[in-house]
Amino acid sequence: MMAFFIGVIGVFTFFSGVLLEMDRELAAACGVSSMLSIVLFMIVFMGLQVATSFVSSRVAEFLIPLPVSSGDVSKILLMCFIRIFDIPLIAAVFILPIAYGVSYGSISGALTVLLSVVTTEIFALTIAVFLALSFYSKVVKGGGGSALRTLMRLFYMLVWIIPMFLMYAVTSFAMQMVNLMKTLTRSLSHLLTLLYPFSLGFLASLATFFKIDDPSIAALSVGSSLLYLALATYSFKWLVKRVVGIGFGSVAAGSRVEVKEVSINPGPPWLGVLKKDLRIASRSPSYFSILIMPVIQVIIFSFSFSSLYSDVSGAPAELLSSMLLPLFMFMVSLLIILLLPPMLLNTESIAYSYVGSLPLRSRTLILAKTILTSIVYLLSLLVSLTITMLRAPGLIRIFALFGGVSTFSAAASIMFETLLISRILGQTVSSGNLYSKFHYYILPLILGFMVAMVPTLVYFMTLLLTASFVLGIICLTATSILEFLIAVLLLVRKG
Amino acid sequence: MLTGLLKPASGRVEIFGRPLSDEVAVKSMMGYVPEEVILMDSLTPREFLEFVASIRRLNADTVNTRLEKLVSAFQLREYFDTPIAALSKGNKQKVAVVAALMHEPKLLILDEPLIGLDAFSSKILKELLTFHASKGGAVIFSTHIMEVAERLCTRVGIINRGRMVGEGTVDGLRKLVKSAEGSLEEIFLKVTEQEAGVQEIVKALEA
Repeated sequence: MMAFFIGVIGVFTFFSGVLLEMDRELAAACGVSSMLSIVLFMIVFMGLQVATSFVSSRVAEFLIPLPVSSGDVSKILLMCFIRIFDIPLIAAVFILPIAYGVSYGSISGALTVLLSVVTTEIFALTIAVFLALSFYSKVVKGGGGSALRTLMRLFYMLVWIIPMFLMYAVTSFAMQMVNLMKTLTRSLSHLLTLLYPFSLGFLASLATFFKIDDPSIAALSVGSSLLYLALATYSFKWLVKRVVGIGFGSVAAGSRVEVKEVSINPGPPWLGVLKKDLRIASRSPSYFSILIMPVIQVIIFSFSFSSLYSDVSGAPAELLSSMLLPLFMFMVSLLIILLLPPMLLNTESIAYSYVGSLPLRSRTLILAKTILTSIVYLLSLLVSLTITMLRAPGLIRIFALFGGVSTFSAAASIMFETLLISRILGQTVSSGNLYSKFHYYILPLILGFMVAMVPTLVYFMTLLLTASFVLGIICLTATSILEFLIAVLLLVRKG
Repeated sequence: MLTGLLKPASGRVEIFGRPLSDEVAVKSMMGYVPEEVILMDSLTPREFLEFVASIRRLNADTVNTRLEKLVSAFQLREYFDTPIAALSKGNKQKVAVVAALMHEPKLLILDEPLIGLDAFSSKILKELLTFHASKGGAVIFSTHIMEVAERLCTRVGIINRGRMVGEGTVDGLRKLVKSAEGSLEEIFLKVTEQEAGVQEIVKALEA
């Protein structure tokens, strides 16, 4: 799946760069920088889950007693680790340079892209292992503790996860950033040339067109790229050392603290599931990044599509155009929000051989996942409202109204999606690898999105037929609440 | 299948008069320790037990009194706030045992519960099981160690290749194989027709 995304996005980026009416050198630099960011983000983001499992496993336990040398065990462990990522790594190494070479007709450019992709992959694997190691040893050493410690853990995780999302944001802003170079002062444009992945993007462009407008930028680009290559070599050595170390079980052991009070505070079952999910998320970078992804995505989109704000900001509120931004933001948030339920349901696969024996009703599980997903949705809505308030205060009322009403249809779509997933997968809902079962989730995802879009369609149809904004909003609200009630009814009827 | 992890293809099972399809009611009456204890690694025993108690809708006061006793009995106090990921196999087993016992279930389903436990905890668990049975509770105990089954169980079922080939008290099974003195291990080998095979294999290995 990851390899497919990287391949498709890579081909699209490079070919569209050639077709766009813009400076070809800039298009090449932008395209390569964007693709390197995507490769880095996707391998780190998706690799975190598997890297964490690798870190916590004791893979060498079976190998060490065998009559093989320590060197051979190290090689096997390294191969085991690389095998986890093999297809996306190979896809990026082959597809991206070929797509670039074909698009720009340059072998030297393609070879530079190849070098840049390899460098990026080493960075990505190093970051994934570093984060997995760091969080795992923090979990193992840190233990449970108070709400304050949980908050501290979340903060620590944010500090590490947000830069990853910023790297993802580069894909949205690469064009603006490179274009900005034309207007920036000399020192600032030099600074951008020094930054990864732009330095490698400029290097690829330079190796493709051999056109030097500003020798200092070319020199800085080559110099910083060489530094990144050196860093990648060092990272690779560190990676090999750490992966082998992990395999031999060199991860920190846990702490022992005599506790004074052995008491627990059980609540209703749905709250138990919710608290469990939040606790796991506070210790697992992969689940935490999944939970905050919708919020971050809203921030990124609100900046990368900032023209939508400026078009309507301050202008008289034309009904259709003023609805465009909230509608767009709602669709984006919802598409990402609807990815959460399958991922949250997949957390149940942890310890299913035990949890499956507990008297947990399907509807309790679905309710807990719906509440958690709705909280994330409301959080992204709140962020979205804050941004709107700062950038287009004139839109805040319509945004709040639309977002508030849509919460009902969002909750309904989450419930419909989760109900359908549990119906399709039956008992196997809680077992297995999420990515290997992704095809099961496509249909519920589409259904969930359709359910969420119905009130919006009703709104626009009412507006077109009656030209009444008030009637449109009434119909929007009624449809959203009706959907919500139907979903609740179906949930109550579920065992 | 009794624990709800596998769906029955056919047939009918009742637990204390409740059909297996009444999943929540049936699961509420039982405590289960799986053979391979895989718990939620990033939680601590306190957090894991709180999750289990929430699902079982247990009252805080009642469960805490019981929990205090169980945690002390199985010497888990010093690991109560240590992440499960950092616990030894034996301590993970203890957490699973405490989770299975904390709601005082009528039925206990234990799959090799003694594996990984130290001698002290193993003795405590055996005593607890005997006490549980003496109070009228039921225990379904799965083990490959015949000595343990012989000492602990009142009725023994022998399963060979997925089929029940013998069931009853140990004395009843002795009668079945027409042996007055044999141990449960010998009875097992006779019932499963593996006794001769064992002798042949041992001879071949010694040769």
